[in-house]
Amino acid sequence: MNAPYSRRPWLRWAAPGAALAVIIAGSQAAAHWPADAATNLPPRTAAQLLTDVQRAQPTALSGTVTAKMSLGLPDLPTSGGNPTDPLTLLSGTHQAKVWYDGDRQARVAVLGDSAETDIVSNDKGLWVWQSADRSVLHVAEPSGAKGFNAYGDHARSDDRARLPEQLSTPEGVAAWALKMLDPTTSVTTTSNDRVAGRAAYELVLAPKTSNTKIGSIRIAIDADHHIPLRAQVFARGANKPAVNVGFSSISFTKPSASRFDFTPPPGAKVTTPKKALHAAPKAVRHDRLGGTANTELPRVVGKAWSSVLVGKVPTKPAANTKDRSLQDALKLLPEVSGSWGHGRLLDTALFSAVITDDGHFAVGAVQPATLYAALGRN
Amino acid sequence: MPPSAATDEFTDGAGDRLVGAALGSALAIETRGLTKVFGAQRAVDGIDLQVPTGSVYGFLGPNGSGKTTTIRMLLGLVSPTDGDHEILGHPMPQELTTALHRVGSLIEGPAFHSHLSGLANLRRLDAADARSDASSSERRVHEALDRVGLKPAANKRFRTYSLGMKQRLAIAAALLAPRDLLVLDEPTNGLDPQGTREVRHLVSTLAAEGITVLISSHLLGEIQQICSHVGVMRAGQLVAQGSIEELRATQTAQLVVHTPDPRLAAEVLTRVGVAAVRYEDEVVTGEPGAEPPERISAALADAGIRLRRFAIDRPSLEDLYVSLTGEGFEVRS
Amino acid sequence: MTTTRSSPLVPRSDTSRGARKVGRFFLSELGLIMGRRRNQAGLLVLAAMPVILGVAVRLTESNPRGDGPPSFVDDIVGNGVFLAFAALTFELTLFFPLAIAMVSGDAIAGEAHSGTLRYLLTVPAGRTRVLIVKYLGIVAGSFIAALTVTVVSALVGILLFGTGPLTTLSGDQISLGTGLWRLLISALYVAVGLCALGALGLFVSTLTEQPIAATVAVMIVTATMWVLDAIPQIAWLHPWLLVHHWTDFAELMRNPPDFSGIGDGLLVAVGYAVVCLLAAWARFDGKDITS
Ligand SMILES: Nc1ncnc2c1ncn2[C@@H]1O[C@H](COP(=O)(O)OP(=O)(O)OP(=O)(O)O)[C@@H](O)[C@H]1O
Ligand SMILES: [Mg+2]
Repeated sequence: MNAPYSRRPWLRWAAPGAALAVIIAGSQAAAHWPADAATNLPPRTAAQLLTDVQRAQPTALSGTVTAKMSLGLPDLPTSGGNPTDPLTLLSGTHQAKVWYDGDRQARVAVLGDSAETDIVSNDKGLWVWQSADRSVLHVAEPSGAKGFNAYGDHARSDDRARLPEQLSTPEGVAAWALKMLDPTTSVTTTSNDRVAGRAAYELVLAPKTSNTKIGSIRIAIDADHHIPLRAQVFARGANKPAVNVGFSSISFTKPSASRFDFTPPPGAKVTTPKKALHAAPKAVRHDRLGGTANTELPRVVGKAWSSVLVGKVPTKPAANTKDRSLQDALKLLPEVSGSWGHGRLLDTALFSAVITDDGHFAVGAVQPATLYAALGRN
Repeated sequence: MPPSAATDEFTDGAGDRLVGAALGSALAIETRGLTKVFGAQRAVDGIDLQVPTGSVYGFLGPNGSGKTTTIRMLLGLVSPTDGDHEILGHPMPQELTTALHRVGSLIEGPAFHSHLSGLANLRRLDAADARSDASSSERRVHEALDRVGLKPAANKRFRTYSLGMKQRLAIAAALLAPRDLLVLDEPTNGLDPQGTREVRHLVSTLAAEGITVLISSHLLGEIQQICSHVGVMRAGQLVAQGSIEELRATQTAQLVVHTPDPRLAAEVLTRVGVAAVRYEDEVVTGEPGAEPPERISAALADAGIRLRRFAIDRPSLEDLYVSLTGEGFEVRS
Repeated sequence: MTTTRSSPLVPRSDTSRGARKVGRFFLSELGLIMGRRRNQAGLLVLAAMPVILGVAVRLTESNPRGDGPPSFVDDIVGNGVFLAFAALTFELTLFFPLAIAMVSGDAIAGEAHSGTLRYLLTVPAGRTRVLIVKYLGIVAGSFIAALTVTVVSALVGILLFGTGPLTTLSGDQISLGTGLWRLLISALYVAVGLCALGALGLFVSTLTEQPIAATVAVMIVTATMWVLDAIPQIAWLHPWLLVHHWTDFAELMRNPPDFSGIGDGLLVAVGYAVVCLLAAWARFDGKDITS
């Protein structure tokens, strides 16, 4: 009942109104700051940038990587389980923390909802900790930092079925894209950008063929350290990235050595595979799929951007709950059929995949018709 | 007599606005065109209330005439749609806190936390007062309870109080701090005859101490006994206001003569200047006006008229009230 | 001049003012809140939940579990302190909001309903001052609720399951002292979130004279926010929801502890509190008290 308002009562509402306006404006300003900070960098050609990247010295860093997947898949409410479940990785936003000492030790913590998967590489070997089931996988063979500092030979040697995991680090995506480089791809640069507060060059790779769903791939490269800071994959004709993996914060100070220590906590289930596996993620995966028996090696049909991976799904000796939920998820997909047979189609912004009723699959960054053709050649 | 005439008469009289303004604090409460509109209804319609300092002001009016709404506006609970007012010389609502600290009030019946004792309720109200003195709090609370005779029930839960005890507790709350003005909305509602007497006594004592009291009530007998001034509301308007004597003086006195010689008596009365003389059977009535009764009685005696009864009737407050507010029983909507 | 005259009854004292004056009013308000049977029973229910949870885990602990046990059960069995984290998370969805909705919905509407508001305002307590004291009461209630649940559940957890160093989500271990410290931060963070909900409740409470209606409205708003927060299609809205960051104190159980979620949560809480308190003031300062 203050005097100034007694004749104009509505004037009081200016106070909460102004507070709300300030909060909204402030949050918008904070979200876009420093969007317009000048990035005055000496010009560099695409070729120069590529060499920079390949010559880049491993450098100690720590930071947070954010991956945003907008493949056009329905977002499933997160169940609070394992953050590295491939199904959940295909959609939504994911975060991982990365520490690297510039040499052999590295740690990646994939953050989930009240869960975490840590991959630690130190002199005692490779550790994979999953808080969801309190399991530790220990590979004694010191496979070193290769698995993480992966824009080297690691990517070349591998199959594309592990795409999502590989895409979860900018290094992985960049390496995968570099492999695609051949006469089918145009490589250019575009205006510089800021990623995680750092000035970066941007490399654009665009397929020359139209027989792929991928429109372009943009890779932001740190101007000082020449490491990829961000990779974005655009679908053909889209102006928002379907996959956006990049650092949301990064620091190039060396993490303390204790960051790479890992001792399995009491009560954890520790497994130590006898057979040395060359990379932890693969080991985890094979473990999850219930062994490697009955696996027919997949083969590649087609070339470069329009290549299609065709193979047979490994048959499971014992179906566990996770696989059952996978089967249920499959049933949600639309049914398709043709001269190649009958199956279900997963059609996303960037790639499509078909799984037939008899267990064959085809996947590629192409239109479904190309997949059917590839399956037909079976 | 039309109600508006009475209003005019008294605003031109003792409580003149000019006089009030000149004396500054001569009015404990002054409103100018105070109005409250609820939706389409003008619950209070431009009233000019003037409560002289030191008076006991009876605030009368039928149910729904706008008394409580006026009191709520005076105390800053409801913001007026129009008009302004001053309490103890403080413009409202600008100096609300300063003014209300000097005002004790009881609005539309008692209301307290039912799970707390009377004592705890008073303590809470005293704690809520930013200006009350913490060190004297206990003493004041107990004195207030004592004053309304609630001491024996001080530690009982409010829930267990009888209606009269609740009413007394509300009066005690109004007396928690030293006051210059008391605003009491139907303070005797639900009190037993002793309680009513005590409240009347209490109000008189407080008035004798110099505290101004605005008291709204439907008990006209009570009001007549304790009030020095009266304001009457009807349908949101203040239809009369002034000291009791002034108000009653405006009412025409009636001369009533009972005699076996009515015709003759009527002639004599008309001759001495009594107006509107009428007779029926053995009763003669008329308006004596300014004519002194002793001259009239002498004239009747001189004419040899046999008298059974000779009286000049002054109207009661109730007659006045009914003449101002009408006989109707229905509340206005 | 009568304006300076005091009644001879008691001498007036205008000497003491300021914060101390809010202090006496606040203590009275706190007494009122804590003295309500309803609130005492509510606090008892809040404190009973972790006991029930702990006993249930203890009883089923030795039984062979089916597939995919909730991981927090393992945590609790491993270290009783985790019972406190589980209890905080568990009660945040329903019990804490209900308790705060009850207290804050009652704040103004309750006084208006019983008619005591008109006497409070003619004391005069001052409308802004009444709001401040009412909100301080809600704040005190939030902290009492969160800390009671935390202390009770930590003690019950330690009694039932023992304690020691805590295993973080990252697989590393931290000392018990560090763990308890993070537990305290979590409890305070939960309390701050409840304070923001209390500000919303205080605003709603100024809109009505029915305390139950205010309580129900606050619960509906809270439940709606939880539902909206679970729909991934409107992810853009999530950072604006009060409850979105409420459970982010779980991020303290990583190694190193991740304060970013808590930081965002605090910002959102402060934003809600400021806007709601100003709205409550805008509404209450000009409100006609006709009850
Ligand atoms: N909050 C409100 N909303 C709408 N109308 C109201 C409100 N409060 C009062 N009124 C109306 O205003 C008019 C005056 O009411 P008020 O309570 O002032 O009467 P009163 O003179 O105190 O009557 P009583 O002698 O019965 O106490 C009534 O017609 C009532 O219906
Ligand atoms: Mg009334």
